[in-house]
Amino acid sequence: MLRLKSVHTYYSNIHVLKGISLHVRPGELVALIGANGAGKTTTLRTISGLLKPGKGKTEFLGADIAGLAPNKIVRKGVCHVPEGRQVFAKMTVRANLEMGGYLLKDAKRIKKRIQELASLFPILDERKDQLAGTLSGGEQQMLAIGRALMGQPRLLLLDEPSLGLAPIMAHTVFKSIARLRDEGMTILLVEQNARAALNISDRAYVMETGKIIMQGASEELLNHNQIKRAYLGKGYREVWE
Amino acid sequence: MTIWERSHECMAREELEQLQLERLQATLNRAYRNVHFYKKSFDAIGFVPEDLDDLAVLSRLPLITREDLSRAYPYEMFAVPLREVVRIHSSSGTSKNPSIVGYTANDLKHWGGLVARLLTAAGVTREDVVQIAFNYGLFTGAFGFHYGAEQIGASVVPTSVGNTGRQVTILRDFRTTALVCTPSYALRIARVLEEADIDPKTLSLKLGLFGGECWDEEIRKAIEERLYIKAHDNYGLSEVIGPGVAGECSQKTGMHVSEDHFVAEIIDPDSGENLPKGRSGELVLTSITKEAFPVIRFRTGDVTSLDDAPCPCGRTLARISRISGRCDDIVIVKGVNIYPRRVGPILKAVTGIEPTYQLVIDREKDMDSLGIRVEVSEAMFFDKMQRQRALVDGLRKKVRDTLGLTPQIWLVEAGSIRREEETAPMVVDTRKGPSHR
Repeated sequence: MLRLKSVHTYYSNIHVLKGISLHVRPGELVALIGANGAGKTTTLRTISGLLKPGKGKTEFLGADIAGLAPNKIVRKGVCHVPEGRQVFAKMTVRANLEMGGYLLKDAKRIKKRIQELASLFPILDERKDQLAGTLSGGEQQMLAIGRALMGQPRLLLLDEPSLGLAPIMAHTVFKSIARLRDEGMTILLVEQNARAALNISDRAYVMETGKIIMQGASEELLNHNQIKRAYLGKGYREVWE
Repeated sequence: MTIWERSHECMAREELEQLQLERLQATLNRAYRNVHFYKKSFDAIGFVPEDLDDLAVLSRLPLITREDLSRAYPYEMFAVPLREVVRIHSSSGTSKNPSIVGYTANDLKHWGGLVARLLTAAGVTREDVVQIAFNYGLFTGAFGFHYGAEQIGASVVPTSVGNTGRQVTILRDFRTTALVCTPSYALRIARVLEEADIDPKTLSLKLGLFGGECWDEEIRKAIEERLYIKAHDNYGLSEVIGPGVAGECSQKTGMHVSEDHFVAEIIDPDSGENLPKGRSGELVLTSITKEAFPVIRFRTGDVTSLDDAPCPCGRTLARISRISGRCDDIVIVKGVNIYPRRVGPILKAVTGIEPTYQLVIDREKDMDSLGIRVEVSEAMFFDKMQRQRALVDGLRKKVRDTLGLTPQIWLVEAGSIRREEETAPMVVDTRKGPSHR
């Protein structure tokens, strides 16, 4: 579905992505893990068109999307949920979701879509009339994902959905991401919480200083000593485990 | 016929190439960072891993040889710290230092999976009883097949080599259905069966996977007729992983290379240039999933050609033709690689000066044998038979200890080895077939 071939991206003069190749097949949940500054967010921003690749190919459903404007890429079905849960705080949950449905262009369809999402995120349904700013961090994250899903994307790019969340809340967010995948959504997930990301994903790429240094089945990487030492913390277990 | 790992053995070519590119880039990034040899050789041509933006760029990288691996003895080319290495094997090469190869836990898992592919392609299932008559030791052959057969869930009988009488008893009593060994050993087993007057049709044996030596269709026919089985070829080498690089499917029209783990190229052995598709030349392999011991553009010395046309079996992995010979002067005797020129120094260790010598490789009753004709110089001339015998024994022991093969030694008169114009044949190989040039 998505295919990057040797993508190089620069921030002015800084060479950030040094030849990234990766792919995501339909229905897959693929994780991109690595330390801070490895280039994970830059990779997502390059895919969604917020950054222009200097070199390389970005293919989505067989068409080259490198260099297209972000809104064109959204229309093709790629939806990017940036880090930091950027919801419209002064608007209600429902209004936030409606904003996400602008591509549907039809009030009936938007309403129907909000109902569909209620089963996935019951909490959003419960809080639909509350202002988004009054939601907890985890709820805001689910709202951000829910808003992205309103447009019925074919590929979801998630950037650090667990950032700044209490462990128990992060756990809930990861659970809903896993459920999304189970329902057939294709997801590329960027995470610093490598263990959680590997636990829910099918495959993963490990980034270091703008390059991919390892890739494979998530289960394999989860048991990989070098990954354990570098990203999982030896003997360290998450609170909810 | 079932396929072990359909998701990877039957990929669309385009998808496979994307996967190869991803894995190759990650391999280069790791090798460049962790292996001094690769950093040095890439730096020398001004190459950094991010320059590889297409599979075709691989052909610009330097080729490596067994000598390079040998110079890295023992661990210089490992790409992970030794604490990540869970297995160490050694190649059968007889160069000064053998190549030492390491495996991480992941490497071993992949290795087993790769061999499971070729066992499955040959028709082995979990119902089978697999007798592995390769040497269990530093060589990779036995262990690779062992893990592969175990992954499939077959019953593994690790008989190792030797004691053919016992092998035959086990073959019959344990109701072995699949035999794994060298082709010459398969013929040896056939002979012992014939001598014991055991009709192979009364055995449960139905197929065999043979490798570790060059063999041809004639030998295949002999094995199939005399053991009453289907004989399958497979290809692998310790330096790259061991068995599991390529194997025949039921079509027997070449061996499918596991291209999602190895990138295969065919080069002109003289110029080192890549040859056009379909041409016959030297096989060059690059590992793209190995962690402990990656090899980048390793010259195998084996002559073959590559065909990526779709195979009726459903696999999309390209096939190499049966190995038609060796590019360098290596001769393989009983699965052991021998560099004829390296035998001289071994003899010298006993005789003091390097004698003129000639290797005589013969096949008697289906078993390969190594003989060495050594010219007697004045310095070695003894009038006492006893001292001559001691010399012969000393030479035999030295060669055996170094090469792992016991040769026959013949002392011959000075000047009796006819060396035509300096390029005298150092090796006389009387085994028939084109595969033993």
